[in-house]
Amino acid sequence: MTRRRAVAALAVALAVRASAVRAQPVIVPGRLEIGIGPQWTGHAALGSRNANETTGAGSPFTLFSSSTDLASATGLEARIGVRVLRRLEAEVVGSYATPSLVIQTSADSESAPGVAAKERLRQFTIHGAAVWYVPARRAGARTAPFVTAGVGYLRHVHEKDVLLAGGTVYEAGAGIKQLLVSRDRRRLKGVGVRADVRAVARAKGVAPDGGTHVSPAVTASLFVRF
Amino acid sequence: MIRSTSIALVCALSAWQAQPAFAYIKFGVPAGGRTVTLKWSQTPRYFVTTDTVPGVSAADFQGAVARAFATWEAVPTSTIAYQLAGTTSARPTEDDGSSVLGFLDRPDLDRVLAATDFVIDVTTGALIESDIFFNSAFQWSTAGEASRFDLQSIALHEIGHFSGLGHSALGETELREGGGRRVIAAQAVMFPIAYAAGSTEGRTLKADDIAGITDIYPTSDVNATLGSISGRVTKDGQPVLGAHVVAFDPSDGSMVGGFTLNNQGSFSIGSLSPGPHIVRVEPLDDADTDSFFSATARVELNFRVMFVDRVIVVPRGGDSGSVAIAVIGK
Repeated sequence: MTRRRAVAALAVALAVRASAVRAQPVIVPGRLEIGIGPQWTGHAALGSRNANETTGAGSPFTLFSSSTDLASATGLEARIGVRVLRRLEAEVVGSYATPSLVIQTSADSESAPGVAAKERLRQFTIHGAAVWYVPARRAGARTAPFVTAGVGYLRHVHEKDVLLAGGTVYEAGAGIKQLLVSRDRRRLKGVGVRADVRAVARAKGVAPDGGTHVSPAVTASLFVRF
Repeated sequence: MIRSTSIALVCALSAWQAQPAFAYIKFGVPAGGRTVTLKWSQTPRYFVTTDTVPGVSAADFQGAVARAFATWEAVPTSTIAYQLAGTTSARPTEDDGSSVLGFLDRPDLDRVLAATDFVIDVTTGALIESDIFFNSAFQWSTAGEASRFDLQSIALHEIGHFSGLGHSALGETELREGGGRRVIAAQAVMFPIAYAAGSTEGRTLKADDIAGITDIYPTSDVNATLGSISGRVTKDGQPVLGAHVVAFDPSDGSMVGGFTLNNQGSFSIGSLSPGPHIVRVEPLDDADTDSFFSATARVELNFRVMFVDRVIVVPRGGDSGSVAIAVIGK
C-alpha cells in the first residue's frame, strides 16, 4: 500500500487523499491497452527578444522587437499501456502535430509594419507515462477516472526534414475512460473511449529562450484492451 | 605573377561621413576573367611604424593594433591569423610589398579617420599587400579618453578591411546640421561610420563581423554546422540592387546583414546559426551608398522597410532555399 501511494504521488500532483482510497474494483479489464485518437495542444508563448544595436555609450538601441509563439494545433496521439499494478499502468505515448511557429515583429524604429511571420513545423513527441486509476465512489461500473503524468522527448522538425531542435516534454493531467464493450473471457477484453486533459510543458525545442513553456492539451481516443 | 600597379581598393572609416568604398561583407575583385573573393592565401605579415602622435606612444600603438588583430584571430569559426613582422620606417601607403600600419598626417581628409588599401594579384585575386593608415590629424587614444578616437576600435575596423571585409550597413545614423552623419547605434564593427570620440564600443566584434570573417576564412567544420539564407529582392517585378537584407535570430538576438549585389537582385547571407530567422529588408539610407557600392552603381533607395512575412528556417549545413521578397515603393 505504501508503494502504491508513493507511485500515485509521483504520478501527478493531484489531491488524491490516501484516506479516501477504498477497495473499489478497477473496471478496465485486461493487461494491455492500445489507443489512438486526436490531440489538441494549445498555444504556447515562447518568449520575446529585441533586435538591438549598440550605441556609442554601450546602451542598447532597439531596431525592432519580436515575440515567438507556437500556435495551437491538432494532431494524433497513439499509446500502448501495460498494467503494472492493480490501479497503475505504464504507457508509451507518441504524438504528431504540425503547429505553426509564429514570430511577431513590432516597434520597428524605422516604422516597418509589424508582421506575424509563420512557418509550419512538425512536432514529434515520445514519452513514458504512468496512469493511476483513482477510486471514485460515484463512477459507474464502466467508468474509470485516472490521473496521469509522464516525461519524454520532443522533436521539432522543419518541413524540409531539418531538425530545428530537440527538447523534453513533461505532461500531467487527468481523464476518464469509458468502457463500451467488455468481454472477460475473450482475447479482446474491452473496447472503450478515453478523454483526458493535460498540462504539457515543452522544454527547449524551438523556444528561442531555451525555456520551458506550458500549454493545455486535450486528447480523445479509442482504445482496445487485451 | 602579375601585380596591379595601382592600389586596387581603398576603404576608409569616416568620422562623420562615409568615403568611397566597395560592397558588403566581402570584396569581390576581378581576376583571371572572373570575380573572386578578396582574401589572403597565406598568413599575412604586417609591420608597424614607430611614429607617435600626442597621447599615443609607439608602444601604445603597437599594443592597440596587436589587440585588434588578436580580436579577429579569436573568432572560433574562422582560420584567419596574422603575424607581426616587426617595426619599419616605411610609410603605410607605399607600394613596397610590405603591409604596414601607421600614422599619416592627412589634414586634407578631414572626415577620414583611417583607411586601408590593397595590392592584389590580378590573376588570382589574392592579397599581396595591405596598408592601414590612421589619420594623425585627429586626436587619438588607446585608453578610451573622452574627445579622442579609440585607436583599438578603429584598428579593429580597418583590420576587417585588411582581411578582405567590406562595409556592413547594420547601423543607424542621423544627419548632422553641419553635414555628414552621426551614429545613433551600430551592430557591426564594419559599419562605415565610427562612434563618436571617447567611445570604446567598437572594440567588440558583433555577429555580423563574425559571420563575415567566417565566410571568407571558414574553419573546416563551418560548412557542416552553419547555414545560409539566399533569395531575391524585387520592386514592381524588377530586381533591386543594393537592398540591405538582415537576418535576425530570435534565439540570441543576433543580426547578420547582406545586400542584393547583382542585376538579378540576388542576395546570400552566410555563416548563420541554424534555426528560425526573421528577415528584414531596408534601403541603404544610413550612410552614403558609395560606402558600399561603386559610385556608378544604380542602388535602389526608394522602397519601404519591411519584414518577410514568413519565418525563414536556416538548415544546418545548408541553405534556406530562395526567398522571394517584393518591396514596395515609398
